[in-house]
Amino acid sequence: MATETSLKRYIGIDLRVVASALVELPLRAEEPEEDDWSDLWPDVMARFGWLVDLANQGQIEAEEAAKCRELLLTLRRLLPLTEQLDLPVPDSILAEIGKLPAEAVREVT
Amino acid sequence: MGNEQSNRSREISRWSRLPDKEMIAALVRSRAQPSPELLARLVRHVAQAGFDPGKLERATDELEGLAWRAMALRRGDRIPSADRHYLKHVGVHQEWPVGTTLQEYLETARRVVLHSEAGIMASLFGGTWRLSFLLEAPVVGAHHGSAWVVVEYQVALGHWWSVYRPWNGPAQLVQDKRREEVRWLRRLVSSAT
Repeated sequence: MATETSLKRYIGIDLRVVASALVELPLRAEEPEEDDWSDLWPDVMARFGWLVDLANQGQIEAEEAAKCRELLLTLRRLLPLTEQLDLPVPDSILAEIGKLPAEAVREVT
Repeated sequence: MGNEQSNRSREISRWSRLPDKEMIAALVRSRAQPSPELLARLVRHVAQAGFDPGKLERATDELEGLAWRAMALRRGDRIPSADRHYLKHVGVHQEWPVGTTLQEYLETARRVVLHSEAGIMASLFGGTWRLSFLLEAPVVGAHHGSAWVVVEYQVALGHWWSVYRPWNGPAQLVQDKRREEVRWLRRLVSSAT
């Protein structure tokens, strides 16, 4: 069982892991690399799921929850790329994305 | 002896004469189950194969700022494959306890491959054949993630492709729909899948 200190550290690690994967995603769409990045996508999504569960249970601090939500918003924007690159997004994460408010639509006058 | 068994014996006899790397490629592509002797050769070869020493891999965003050979890594730096995997899974993800050395990380992988209870799964991922060695291998000391270790061997490359602790254990690989032609050359002893 993780102590409170190590739990906080692990939350920080996984926020960084998910954020890094989302930074990398558009780069991979432009230029594929010969490595295991795509193989490990389910691992990133599993970590993201863990963070989202903690946020939903109120077990993470407000700042971390805000970061988690920001990552969900980023992933929503990048969903077309996940399809293009055949990177599966779990239903539980898609359900969380579905709960986000609709993106603001700019009106052109 | 039936025709099928006779053909298999001939195939195994032919494969036995191939060098290890070619024998493994032929075996995996054939979709046949290996004889105990070929399986033992396969295991010995993969255990010593390690990461490709000539392969450089790009440091992604999460490695930025980590200390590596007396310098701070920048995103986009190209570093040896083994170092990148170690920095990612031990340094950043902390899937092994803090303080684990590169040699200890690689030794864990070798032990997993050589362990008689490790599951050995063949699959086709993105058009390339893989062998995945899976074993529940707890370590002493706090770490983040599951107790399972995966050593992924890229058949065409003839080297390790990945060594990590999958968050969701073996299910994470088995249930990945991108993997095709999945079959076990040696089943997991555990019922985890």
